[in-house]
Amino acid sequence: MPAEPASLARRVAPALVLTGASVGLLQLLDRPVTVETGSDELSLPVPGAGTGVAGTTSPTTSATTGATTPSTATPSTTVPATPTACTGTTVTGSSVSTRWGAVQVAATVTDDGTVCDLEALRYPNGDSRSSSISQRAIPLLEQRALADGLDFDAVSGATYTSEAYRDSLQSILDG
Amino acid sequence: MTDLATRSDNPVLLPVAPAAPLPLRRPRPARLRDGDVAAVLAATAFLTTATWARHGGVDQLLAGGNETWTSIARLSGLLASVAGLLGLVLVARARTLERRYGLDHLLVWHRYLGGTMAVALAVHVGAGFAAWLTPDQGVLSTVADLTGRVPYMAPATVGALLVAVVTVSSLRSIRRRLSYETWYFVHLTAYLGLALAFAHELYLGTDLRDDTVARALFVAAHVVVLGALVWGRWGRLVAAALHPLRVTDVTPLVPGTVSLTLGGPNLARIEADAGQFALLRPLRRRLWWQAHPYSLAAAPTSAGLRFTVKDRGDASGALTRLPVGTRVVVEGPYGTLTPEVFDEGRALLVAGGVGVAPVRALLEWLPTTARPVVLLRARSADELVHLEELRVLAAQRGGAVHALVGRTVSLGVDPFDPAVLRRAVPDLAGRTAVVYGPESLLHAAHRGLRDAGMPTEHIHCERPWW
Repeated sequence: MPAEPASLARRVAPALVLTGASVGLLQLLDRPVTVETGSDELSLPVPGAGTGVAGTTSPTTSATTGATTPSTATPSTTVPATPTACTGTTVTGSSVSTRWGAVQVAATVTDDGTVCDLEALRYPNGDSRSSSISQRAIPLLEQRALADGLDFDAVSGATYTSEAYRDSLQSILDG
Repeated sequence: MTDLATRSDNPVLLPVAPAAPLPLRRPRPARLRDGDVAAVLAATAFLTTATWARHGGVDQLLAGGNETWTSIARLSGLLASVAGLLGLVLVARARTLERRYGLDHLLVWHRYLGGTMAVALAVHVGAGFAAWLTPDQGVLSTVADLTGRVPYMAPATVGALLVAVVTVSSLRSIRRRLSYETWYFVHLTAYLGLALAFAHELYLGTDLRDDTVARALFVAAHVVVLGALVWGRWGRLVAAALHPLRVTDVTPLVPGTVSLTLGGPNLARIEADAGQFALLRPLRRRLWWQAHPYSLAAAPTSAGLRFTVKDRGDASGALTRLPVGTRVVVEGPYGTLTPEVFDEGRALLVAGGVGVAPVRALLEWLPTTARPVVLLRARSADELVHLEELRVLAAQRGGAVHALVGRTVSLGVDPFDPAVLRRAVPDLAGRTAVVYGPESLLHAAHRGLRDAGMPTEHIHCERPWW
């Protein structure tokens, strides 16, 4: 009895299983962690703050914070305490994307037109490396920008974030 | 040594020369030269390295720490993708490459490039991990970053895993255990792997993300290679499927082995030469989806394409039982070991096992000036299906056939010992040799002929097509 040739289904099965497993693994790995997908309001994960457990890195969108000024619980670890003297209009800069995530800056502009406070609404924090870099770089960038304006020195090791920060700030000043 | 005796004076047992069929058109010779290929390879290597160097690769490499790892990851990543692209070019059945080097050699290089890509990819993954790792960040966190949290890295991870699976499945020890078709379909998932990795190459790599020119070249190279693949693999297949040949004759030679002849009106579209092989795809239930290579067993003429098919207990068994009239899609013929190889000089044809068929085809079209000597090596007499025909064909051209049958261990003689070869073919150094046979025979024959004084540029080896 001559053997029947193997069927296509049998020969192609391993490749199909492999493809299916790849798609499944992709779904499993490809977690939406970048803040770029958040709403325009505010999508800062707050390290150590109540809502999100540090490490899970799910974007915490504060839907309840209404109004125009995006000012949720500013994490004290990230941003230095706002000087009480600084009051004025809060202007939100454009969101500038980098390969590690978007950077968006909001500036408090006094009535005489000077920037007295800066706050990063978005910064790269999708992955732990970016988070740790941003933790270090964002406060430095705020200090330097407040001191030197647009000509501030980039923070070493955070070149992309620094440039994006500058661009976002520029968009505010171009107004 | 009696088995190696010349017996060209044997009686004619089979009619060999058919009435008056006309030869088919022969394929045009290749215009491609080695220098062209070398130039393309050099340019590719230069552009790749220059892209890396232009974006500070060298300084970064010397900077130490994470910077050094980043630099290594960049370069190895670029090399992996370039090796992958070149590997795909080789299997796109580009006509000019095939005519110059032959499908089997292209596949060997494809294998080398595939291995190169896998090694470069392993370096890329390792260096990328080391570059990302910082003291204040744990290993697990780094892995989580690079396998999903960083944009585009989840698909890149899956892509790398697919390439790893394909590489492992192609290791000789694993490959042997898989059926050809299972291995082939798994191999196809490499395309998915490369596609998944593409985005991270464009958006995360310093070299491509910030350099419009490099990026444009990179994307253009992918488009060109993809186009060549779609045309070479699918376009040509569709064209061949629209004009299939038909089985015109099936004649048993010995039990389990038949002579299969394909012909019909579409034969006129075929360009073929003796010594070539074709991929056969019978349009029958359970057979249409697989193509198998067979050497032409006779010089290709208007009488049809003749193949020798042995039932090896797989799909080839069904091929020996095809009814006359079955449509068969023929891809090719391919292969470069045609009568032109001998350049009107004297010929030495070495064949082992299934390599007998192409030798028979070549003999038919050799001129009498070739005075062909045929060395046959077979484990059993069953494998020598064309022996008598070969003797007649060789004798007509003033040549001879020597057959050595039996297992090497029991024979107690190395058929490819230089001294043995020189005794059988005294004018060996002045001949051009074509060797068809299993890999072990190719190596043994090549070494033996070289040591017996034949210049290596006159030794042409090809894997057998059953």
